[in-house]
Amino acid sequence: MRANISDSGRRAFVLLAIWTSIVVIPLPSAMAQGVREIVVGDLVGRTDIRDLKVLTKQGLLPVISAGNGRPFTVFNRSNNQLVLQFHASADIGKNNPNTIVFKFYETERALISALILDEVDTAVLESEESAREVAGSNAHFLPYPLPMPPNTVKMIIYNHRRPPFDNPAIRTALSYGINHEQLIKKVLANKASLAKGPYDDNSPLFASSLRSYKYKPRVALQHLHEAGWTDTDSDGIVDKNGRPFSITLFYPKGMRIDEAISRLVKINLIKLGIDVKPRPLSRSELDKKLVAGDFQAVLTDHVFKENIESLSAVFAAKGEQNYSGYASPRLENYFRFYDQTDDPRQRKTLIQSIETVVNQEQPVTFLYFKWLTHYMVDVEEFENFRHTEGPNRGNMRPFEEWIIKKRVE
Amino acid sequence: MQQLSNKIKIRNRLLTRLLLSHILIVTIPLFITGNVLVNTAQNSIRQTILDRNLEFANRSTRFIDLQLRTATDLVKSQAQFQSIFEMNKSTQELAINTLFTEFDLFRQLSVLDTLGNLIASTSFEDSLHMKFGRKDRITGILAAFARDGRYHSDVYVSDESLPMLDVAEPVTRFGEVVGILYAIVDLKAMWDIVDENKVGDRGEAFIFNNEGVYVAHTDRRKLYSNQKLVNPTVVAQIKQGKSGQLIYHQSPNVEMVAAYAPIGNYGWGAMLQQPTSEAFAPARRMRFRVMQFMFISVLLASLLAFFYSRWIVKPVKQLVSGMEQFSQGELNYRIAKVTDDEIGTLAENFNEMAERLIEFQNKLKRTEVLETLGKLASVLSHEIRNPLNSMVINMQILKRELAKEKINKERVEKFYGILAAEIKRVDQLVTDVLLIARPPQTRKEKVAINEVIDEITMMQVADSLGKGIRIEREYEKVPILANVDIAKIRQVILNLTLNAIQAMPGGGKLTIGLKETTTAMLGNHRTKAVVLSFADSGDGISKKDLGKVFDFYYSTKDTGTGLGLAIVQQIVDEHQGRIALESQIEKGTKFTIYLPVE
Repeated sequence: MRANISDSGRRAFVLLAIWTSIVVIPLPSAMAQGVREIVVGDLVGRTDIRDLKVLTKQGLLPVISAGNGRPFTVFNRSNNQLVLQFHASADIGKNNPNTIVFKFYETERALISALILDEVDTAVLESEESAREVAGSNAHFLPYPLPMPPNTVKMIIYNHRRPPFDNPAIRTALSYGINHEQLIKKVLANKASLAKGPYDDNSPLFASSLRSYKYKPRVALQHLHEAGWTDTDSDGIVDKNGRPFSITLFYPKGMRIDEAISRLVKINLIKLGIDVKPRPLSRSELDKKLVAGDFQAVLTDHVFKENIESLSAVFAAKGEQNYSGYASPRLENYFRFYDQTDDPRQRKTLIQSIETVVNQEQPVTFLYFKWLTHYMVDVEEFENFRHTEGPNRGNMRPFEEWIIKKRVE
Repeated sequence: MQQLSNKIKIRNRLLTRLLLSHILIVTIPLFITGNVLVNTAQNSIRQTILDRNLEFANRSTRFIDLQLRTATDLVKSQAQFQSIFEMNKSTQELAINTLFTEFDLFRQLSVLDTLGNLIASTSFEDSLHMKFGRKDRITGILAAFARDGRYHSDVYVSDESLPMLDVAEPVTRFGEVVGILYAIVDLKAMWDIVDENKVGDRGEAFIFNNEGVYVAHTDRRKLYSNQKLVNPTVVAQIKQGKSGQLIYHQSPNVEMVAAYAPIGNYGWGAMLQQPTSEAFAPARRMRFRVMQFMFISVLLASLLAFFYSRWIVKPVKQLVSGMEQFSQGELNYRIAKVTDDEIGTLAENFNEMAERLIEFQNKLKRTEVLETLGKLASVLSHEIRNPLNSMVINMQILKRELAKEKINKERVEKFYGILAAEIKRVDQLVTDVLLIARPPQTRKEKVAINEVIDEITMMQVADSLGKGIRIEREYEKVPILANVDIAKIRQVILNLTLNAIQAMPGGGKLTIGLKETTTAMLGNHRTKAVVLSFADSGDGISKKDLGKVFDFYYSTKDTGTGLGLAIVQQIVDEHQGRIALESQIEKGTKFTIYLPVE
């Protein structure tokens, strides 16, 4: 089973789905009128081409693996490019795109370069700085801030099947040993908020009693020592039973922010005597590792919906997105109690109790909730690409609603 | 005379000349000042561009020097600090990653041994070992250490189109190089330098290396597409360390003003360029403003000059108008004094002159009246005395004849006839005098002039034929109408016919012409008129007498009263007509009368 996109990179896919959403409109003469394409840029570290999904009015439609009934076919596909073509019978307006080309780039800088050179019509950029650089270099593009879905949390998933991550003390030490505030300040320019659990403090489900894992290297060291990890050979790395404490941290390839976070995590944990080896992987490689349980730690995004299913998917022992192998009897009880009651207040209390257990046992290290990302659009060529009113105000429209200003013949 | 001022061409008019002189006085200094201002602005802009570019080059030099020095110092201090080679790997990684994170300057930091083996690196890529495994590269770095004590590469453009510079510092132990601290310095901050120096909306600022390849450019597309500066002259100049400026065509339609300067001793150049259309826009705007200002000034000056000139010219025009009125006979017209200047004095003098002229005219009139009276007395005494003498003589003869017993009836009738004729002659004389002295009121009506001529000539034809004179009428037998006093015109035709007959005592031919014309000059204007002509074949009138023929009592004939042509002149004047006279000795005389149709 391949990892579901929403497991390790749901946030990225949801974002992608928002701005790559396509509504199926049967149009008889779409192809007869020639190719009207829109080129969407993306990063291999953010999106697995095999798990690409496109949001339509019917919902998120997988591009590759879904069955019949889709209004489009995959016309062409390679490792770094995928071309969607709407069926000839699809009802696409003569000024709307009938072909979508997804191009995947290794690094964010390569994507920026493609935007500046007009090789791409639209793309999502993580940082405001990158968005500004593109807009400043190519007047065709305007950046639009895109609010992140609620409870989009950046976290490090540990593999509990492998020691020492099965030890809550070690995970607690890691959480205390990472300077959350520093990375929010240095990497995100304070445009994020500290995460204590799966829900941010704006959420009605947020448990206010959660412990804050602020940077406490002494406490972290104490936890490590209690777990039996000390630097016996004075090589700067703690060890136990002759094995140095080394973590390979996978992060999405080409994502500048993730690389910077990985570096800070490495610096923070080296100070505790933990050797962190960050390694960039493409989304597909990352997903493979997660599904196979072939990892120690993975830096990733996740969107927690405000329901029990979202929590149980990640934290229940048999949760379909529980790649860490985490299992907590207390949590299992809470999940069971939740199913046994219909009282909303009790249910809320149970969810907050789950949050508390997760907060105490640290199956993952929650880092931060990011507020915004930025999408770039070639406004010289397209219009009507975003909702300007209503509940979706500010979000991208489905591609079939985009209007090509300069008709491609 | 009334039309005289209107006939002056506009360009010759005093008002025009004054107006032009005022406008020129305003425009020329403005034009000169404006041009000086615009040229100064253009030169200033050029100089500013050059200065700004030199400053840009200097800043870039300072920046790159600073980056290089900072990077070198950091790497050097890190290399020397406790000798990085003596640290364990985790400490090495901590040290270089901290350096990497704290200073937004490095793209990568690595610790190598002298064989090029990677000991530690900030890069998370597994493939990094391959890069440093090249022996020639390490050899080159070690040679630079031996030569200069350090190593740095030229600036190059990375795979991601970023400007980079490699710096390496030796890690020594006991004076021997045991390792290398290698840093890739990110010079992307140069992009900010060029961005800060971009001029205008379409201006460009860029830095290029010794091959002309852009390493920083305000137009990032040129960086990402690995473009080069296609201007060998500039690249060559930069290599020689020379700065300069030029105006060149970047494309057929885009002319650029550019200034370039070398950056330190690196062989790189900094260049600022801007389309001339944009660079010199302030000068053009200034020129436009100056033109606007000039236009408005000229307009205002013209208006002011117009009113001012009119104010100056007004009394002159009044003077001219007064003279014209005066010349047309309005002798009582006086020019009002409107100014106290020379023109006012001139008006006063003119008025004084007019007074004197009237006095002189009155005096002249009195003299003429006296002369006329004298002449009239003389003529009357002569013209009346002669018939009276004749009457006395004939009455005495008649008395003697009546005293005879046998009265000769024939003789009595003869002398009686003579008496009657003399009385009639005196009566005619008195009538003529009265006609001139107290002419009857003119009563105009539409009259067919040809019929009047026919009537008169018919009465005279018998008499004239008796004198050997043939009268010819040269006009169509169609009515030619004119608005005239028929009695007076009859008098004119009769007088001129009789005058012609009398002018040909030995016989001859009188040709009477009549026609209509639309172009007769009567008074001050051309009008439709009837033209009568009386041409005789007599002896003609000498030139000295031509001016006198219309005078009262001027006659060359013994029996003439000298009133006939004077009466003709008077009647023609009463009809606002005109009479012309041509005469040649021994060939004849021609009187032409122009009478207005209306």
